[in-house]
Amino acid sequence: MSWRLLYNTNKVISLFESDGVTYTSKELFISNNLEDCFNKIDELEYYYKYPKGDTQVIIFSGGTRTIEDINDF
Amino acid sequence: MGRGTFRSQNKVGETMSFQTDSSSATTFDPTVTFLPGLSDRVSWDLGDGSGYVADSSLSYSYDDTGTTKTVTLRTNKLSNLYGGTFVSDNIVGNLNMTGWDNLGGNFYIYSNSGLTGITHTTSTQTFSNYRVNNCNLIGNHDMSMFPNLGGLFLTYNNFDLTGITHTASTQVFSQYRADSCNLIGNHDMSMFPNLGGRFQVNNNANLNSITHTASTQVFNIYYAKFCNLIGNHDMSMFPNLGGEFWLYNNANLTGITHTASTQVFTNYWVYGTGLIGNHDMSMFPNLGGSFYMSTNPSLTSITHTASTQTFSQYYVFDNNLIGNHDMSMLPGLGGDFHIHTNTNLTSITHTASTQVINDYYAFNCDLTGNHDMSMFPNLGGDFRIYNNANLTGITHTASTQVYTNYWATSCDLTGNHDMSMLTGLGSFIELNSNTNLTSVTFPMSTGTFRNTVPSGWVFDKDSFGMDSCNLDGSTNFFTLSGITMDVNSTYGATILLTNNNMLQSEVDGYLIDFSAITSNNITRWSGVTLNIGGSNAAPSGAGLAAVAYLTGVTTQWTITTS
Repeated sequence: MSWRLLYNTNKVISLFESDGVTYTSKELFISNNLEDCFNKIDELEYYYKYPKGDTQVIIFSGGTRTIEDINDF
Repeated sequence: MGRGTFRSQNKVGETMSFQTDSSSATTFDPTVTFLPGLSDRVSWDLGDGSGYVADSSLSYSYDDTGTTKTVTLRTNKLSNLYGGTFVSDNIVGNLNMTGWDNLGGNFYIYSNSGLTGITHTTSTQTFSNYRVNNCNLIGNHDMSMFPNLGGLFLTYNNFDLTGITHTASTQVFSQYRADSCNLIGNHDMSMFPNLGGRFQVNNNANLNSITHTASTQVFNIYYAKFCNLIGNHDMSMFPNLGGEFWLYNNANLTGITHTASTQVFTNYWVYGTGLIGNHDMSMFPNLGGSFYMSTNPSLTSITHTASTQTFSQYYVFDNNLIGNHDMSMLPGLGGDFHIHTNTNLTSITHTASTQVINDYYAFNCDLTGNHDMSMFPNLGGDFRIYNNANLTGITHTASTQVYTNYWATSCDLTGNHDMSMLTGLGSFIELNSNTNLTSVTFPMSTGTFRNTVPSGWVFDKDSFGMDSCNLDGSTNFFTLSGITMDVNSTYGATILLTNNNMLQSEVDGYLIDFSAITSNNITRWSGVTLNIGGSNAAPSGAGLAAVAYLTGVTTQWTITTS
């Protein structure tokens, strides 16, 4: 299993953990470490949200991260 | 302040004095009225050396910045005075009305933020209005000298008012408001047999109980929310309760006793309480509107009777409902239905409703077996039934309503899941972790699908999530040819078919199907992300040929396989 960050010239398309082979014409960053993918998003300075635990979400924006509570009920 | 007898030509009769700090920035405009059929002279010494003004009503601006003045009202007999209006007149301190022994009718003295008390004398007159709201009454307010109090009685927003003492009155009350004060302990209303209309004692954090007596008046508002009602609250003496009933946020409230009422309820809100066991609502045949009984952790069931009223909200989430929840007597169910997070709830019995259902939340329960929703031809919007580990099926009927999502993750959907009748499906469908789900029958939808963001307690985020099921090769994606995979949305558009133990032929079949769908719908199906790896077999050459086409420059898919 590895973490795969799929992105293009302006946004993150997908971040997922998988084994197997990924076929794509887009940019693909692969790492065994999720944090490496996070660092790559920071480096790209893209906007993206990714869950942290059960109740929080990491928000990437412009090379920085913030953590917010999820509360939509 | 006090009373006196005039000793000169223009100083005859009786007086009442009080203080005001009205300034040049405001108008000082008190008015008094006389008993019906009477008229008399009134003059005012405004306390600023300007002499007397003779009139029953004033409109005066002081020439100062708000110094405290003593105003003296003079008239022949204070007992001839009946009503008064002292609204926003900057009256300060205690108002001594001892001579007003015929006070009644309309008494308005609200919005005097420096008024700390009023001393009354006995009057048998009938009141239409007694309004002392938005002042600064301190301690107990004694109204025990008014045996004909009724109409509108308003004392709300007196934050240091700790009690109100009444005497018996048979007058009809159309409003009784003592909300947002500091009433302490029990509030005794047992002397008012004609209480009705609008009753509010909400937002009295130290109010522990309210004692009522029987009244046949119609209630359209009864608010005692945000108090500290303790134990059972007895409402059994009100046979015409209806309208808006709010008792929410009384954490120590363990029960409410009602009697039968045929009035229409538009709001029944009793959430955030300590209600225990069953809550009997079988005496309300016209319950409807917004029904909100959530977050009552010891509430195990709710008994309804038949009602044809329409519901816009039915919220019973975060309780401890046990077994079946019978709603078969409520044919007007619609709007938002939230029954989620009742971990011992095993089934829900519905009856047919043609209302539009915007939200249907039944997640985090223990729904068992098949969940029949075939009685809802206008189900749509946000559908969440995830985390019901024993839920083996969901039966739908045809609906053209638009869905914003369909969420049935982590159940035990078994065999084929038929969604063919839900032609308004869109946004995303999450069916992950149904380990006995072998196929899905999709509708002929033209909706737009996109990934979502983490939301609530579940982090499914794919346009189509069918990870960790037991899919065979029979799911037909061609019925979705008319949809748009919104790959340019913020989070893209992904199909997740991982970990289904699919055979190579089944994997090949899906890849070839997607290739065919995309080639015929380039603008709506290009750029999709597909993960069909995990426990699935690797594709054969035929499957890889489809991958080659789908990941090409024209179609731009991203595909992960084993």
